[in-house]
Amino acid sequence: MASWFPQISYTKVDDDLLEILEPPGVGWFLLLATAIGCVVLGGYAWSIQVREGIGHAGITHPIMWGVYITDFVFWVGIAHSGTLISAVLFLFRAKWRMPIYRIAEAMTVFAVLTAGLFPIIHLGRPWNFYWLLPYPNQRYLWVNFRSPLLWDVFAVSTYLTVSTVFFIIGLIPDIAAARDRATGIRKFLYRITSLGWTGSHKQWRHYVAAYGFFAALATPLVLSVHSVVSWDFAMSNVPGWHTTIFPPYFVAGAIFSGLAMVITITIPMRKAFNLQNYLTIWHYEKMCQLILFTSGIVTYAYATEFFIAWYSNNPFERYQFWFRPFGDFNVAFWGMVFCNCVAPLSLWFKRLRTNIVWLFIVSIIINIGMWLERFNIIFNSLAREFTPDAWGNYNFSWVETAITIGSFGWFFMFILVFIKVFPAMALTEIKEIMVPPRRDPASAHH
Amino acid sequence: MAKEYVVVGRFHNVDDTAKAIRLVRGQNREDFNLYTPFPNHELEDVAFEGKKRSPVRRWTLLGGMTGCTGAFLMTIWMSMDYPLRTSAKTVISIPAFVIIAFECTILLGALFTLVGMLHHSRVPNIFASPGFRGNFTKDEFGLAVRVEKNEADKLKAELEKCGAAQVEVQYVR
Repeated sequence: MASWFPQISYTKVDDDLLEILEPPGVGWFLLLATAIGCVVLGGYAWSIQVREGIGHAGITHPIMWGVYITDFVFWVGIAHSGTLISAVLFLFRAKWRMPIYRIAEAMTVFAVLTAGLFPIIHLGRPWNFYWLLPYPNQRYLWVNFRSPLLWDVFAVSTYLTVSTVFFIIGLIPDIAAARDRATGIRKFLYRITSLGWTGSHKQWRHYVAAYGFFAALATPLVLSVHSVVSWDFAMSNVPGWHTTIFPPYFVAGAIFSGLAMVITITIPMRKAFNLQNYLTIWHYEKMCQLILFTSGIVTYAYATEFFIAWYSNNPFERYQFWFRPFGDFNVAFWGMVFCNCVAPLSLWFKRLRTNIVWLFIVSIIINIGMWLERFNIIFNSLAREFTPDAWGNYNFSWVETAITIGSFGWFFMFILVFIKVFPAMALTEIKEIMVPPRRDPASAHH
Repeated sequence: MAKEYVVVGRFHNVDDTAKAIRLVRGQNREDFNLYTPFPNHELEDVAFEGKKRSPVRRWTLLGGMTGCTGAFLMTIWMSMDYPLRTSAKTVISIPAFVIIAFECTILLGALFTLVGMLHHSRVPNIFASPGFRGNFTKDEFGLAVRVEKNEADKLKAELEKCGAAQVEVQYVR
């Protein structure tokens, strides 16, 4: 038995974790109604933008990538820790991933679904989004494979597909476990979605082999996706974007924000479903260690950007990195520094990182900080490019604000439905790391 | 004579289950299913001793190679079909195409792995698996062996001797 929860029976694991699937209470319905309300608000705002034009968004020269691309990068980043926890930590056999990896994977799939909306919302004519697919469009012109935006299409769609497959495959044995205890319509639903899984040795043999390959394939993928997203910026020559540090800096930032989101989601879930035996302080401390590590990388990357701007002696770069802390958007810059570099430092103190309330607050602060980071990269760089006559500012509109709020509603709507429909914690893998029952219990070993 | 019966042993610990598998395999009975609530390497080793590894890895390799080759062929052919030089780069820009090829390698590698796993695991399966019991996804280990009618009682007694908590004989015709 792993050291983090007391010796309990397999039956108890099933009883505790499948209880999450019991019919929801009033609180759940209120949360779902709020989430759907946000989605409706965002949908209404988008419908105005589609009907009357992209001018309803604040996008204007020179900041032609506004809040929507900030949201896109933010949500792709949130998607990253799911695959990190499910694939990378699986390959490293990190047992602390077991109770959190399912919800982290769900978060990945739903965050990519959210992120994928923004490049379409960002389009002036969103009904032409399929022009990005490799087919001969008007005049038989094929897509430009040398463009990072097209790499993004391939990277994000591959990530969505592979993450979804990985997520669903992991769910099958647990759905089968839920099926064998359910009754009525739920049993029917689980009978279909478990694909007739029985857990025979022949099935496990291929399942375990395939799962290892999914993890091995997803690991380089998770590193590549945010690298490709960073190249959307770094491949251009815009001051503040044209830098080789972007891929590792984006990947570390994505893991940082994703872990914070896992904490934001699991803390209320732990309280609501009495999961203290499964999601222990030990698990949160492990996540805090990774947050501290990635926060350190992100802080180092911020400092390196400033150093390179100075050391390069490039006047445009130098001006850009003067503009960030002292220019029009300086509140966003200092907010980012506080949220991503200063606030996580509190987690060095055991008393604070073992305080669940504080951890929840810090996780939200980090998420705000990571949104601000993308805001800084996009807004500051585009506001101050090369020639002063092309400089400009930005007027935020209620439409893009409503769509951003709608995206949070969209994401949490899926999360809320998921935890009530399918097992949100991995029964099978939690059982797998427990010491199996022996004829002579004294012979049980760790 | 057709094997119309399944003898189902229900076990509560790994040692007795392993002993029963050894007994069954020692009698050259390979038409059995071992059910466990989670993958257990110890039991798998006993059940698969002397057998080859899962062929799923071949599907992964095939998918990865197909994705990589297909992506290079697609990008090169499409670039040649309508040559358009942009940003002073060559029409066939291999470094840029490597990114597409990488993503397609992973994509098809994963999809082929999925197909391979489903194919070899025989899922989706809409038919009830003879010998399967609901508790085998919960807290019991199950061993279901297909036998002829005249062997059922003997095997039942042997599984009970191995430590099975309960043994049932099921007619499956």
